[in-house]
Amino acid sequence: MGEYLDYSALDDADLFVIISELGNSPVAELKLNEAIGELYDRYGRLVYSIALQIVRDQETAEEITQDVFLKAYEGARSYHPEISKASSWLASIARHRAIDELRRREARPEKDIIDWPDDVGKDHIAGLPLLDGPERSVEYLQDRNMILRMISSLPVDQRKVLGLAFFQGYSHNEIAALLSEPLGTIKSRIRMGMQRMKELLADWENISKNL
Amino acid sequence: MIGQYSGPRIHLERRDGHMLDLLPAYVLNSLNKYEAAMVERHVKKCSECREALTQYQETFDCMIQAVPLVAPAKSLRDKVIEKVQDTSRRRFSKEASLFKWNNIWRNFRNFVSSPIRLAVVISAAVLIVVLALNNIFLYQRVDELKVFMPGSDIHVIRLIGTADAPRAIGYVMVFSDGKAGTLAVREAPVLESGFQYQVWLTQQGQGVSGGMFNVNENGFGTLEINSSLPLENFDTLDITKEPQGGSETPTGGKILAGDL
Repeated sequence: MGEYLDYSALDDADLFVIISELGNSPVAELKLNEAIGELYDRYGRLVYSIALQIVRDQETAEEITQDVFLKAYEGARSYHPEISKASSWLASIARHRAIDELRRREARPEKDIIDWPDDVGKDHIAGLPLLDGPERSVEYLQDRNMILRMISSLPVDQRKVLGLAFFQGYSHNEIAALLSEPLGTIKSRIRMGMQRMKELLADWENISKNL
Repeated sequence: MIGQYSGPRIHLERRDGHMLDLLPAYVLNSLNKYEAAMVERHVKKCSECREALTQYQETFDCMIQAVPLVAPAKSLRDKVIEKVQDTSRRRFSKEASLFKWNNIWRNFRNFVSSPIRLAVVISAAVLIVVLALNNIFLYQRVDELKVFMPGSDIHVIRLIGTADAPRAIGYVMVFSDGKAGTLAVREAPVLESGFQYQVWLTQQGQGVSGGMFNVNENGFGTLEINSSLPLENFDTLDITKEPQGGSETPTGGKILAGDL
């Protein structure tokens, strides 16, 4: 660990191993900063964007982002790359943390403004510029547009309940109460919506393989 | 293949002993705690549901991409690093403290592993307890004395019996102005008729009378002493046996004496 290490050359799994090891060394502050900085460079925007999409407040989204990377540092040893990708793991932490924040504040947006993002053709969202960097590669945009198309292909009632669960963390019961619908109906819509998304993604993967 | 979804296409996926219906809501975190715990217990032992859960989890991960990526403030990177750094410092500081106490405890346990050393430690502990109790007792005594001698308002001078009256004891309580005091004497020899005890305040060999007093059949007597000078200006206080009414200078034997 005494030699120069190019953290940007490490894959996610190795980066987490390094962070975990640095977390056990009180004299490795500078290296820890570099490793956390590298992790942030890779996923900071994703984490922040998820938080912002849920809480709709830049200051709170920044606090959540800090908490997520702190949790990543503290839990680096428990990260298993064979179970989930780093992006998924961090995104999941960000989503839960943001939803917890909404619950804590007891301030959730009205049901009518909950929907999946529609930023096609836009340059800004919530006053912030849409990312202009490597993440906006052609491949990324293609993937993202395809995901948005899949979601928009869902029936409106399924898309809405998925949005309420996905972005607001509402439970079955809460969604049923919010929409004044029977609990069984809500459960069916969530199940069918996710099932449909799973099928569409499987189809897309098969097509991509055959191209 | 990816087109507009038309109409309800119901996949109940409910088969006996499986929880496939609950998995989509589980990955969305929409189940209540009871349902979520039930799913977690089930997927640990059911490979079919575990496989389905993985697929739904991958679906969920893909759906994350629907979130538009925005560029946060550039300062956020530094804030993230600073927060991790602060936590790391606090953690190591806490661990270092814990490590120190663990070491002390481990060394102590090693030390008392021998019966002789254990006996020494127990004896020392008992001694410490006894000394502590003694200290508490002494503190209580000091408190009691403070009741009688609050602050510096009063100080006490002890008089010692001479060879003529070895059992006699006397105290003079001198008040804060220093010119007045109260003498109390006990076990002084009882005087025959026509005699009194006289107090002498002596300065550079010259004695002035401080007053006369008698004692009862137990040898107990008191006297209020008043002086034109502070009592501390005198060198000694002596008590002699004198004829009734007192003398100009000491004529009888000294029974009590003390330094002022």
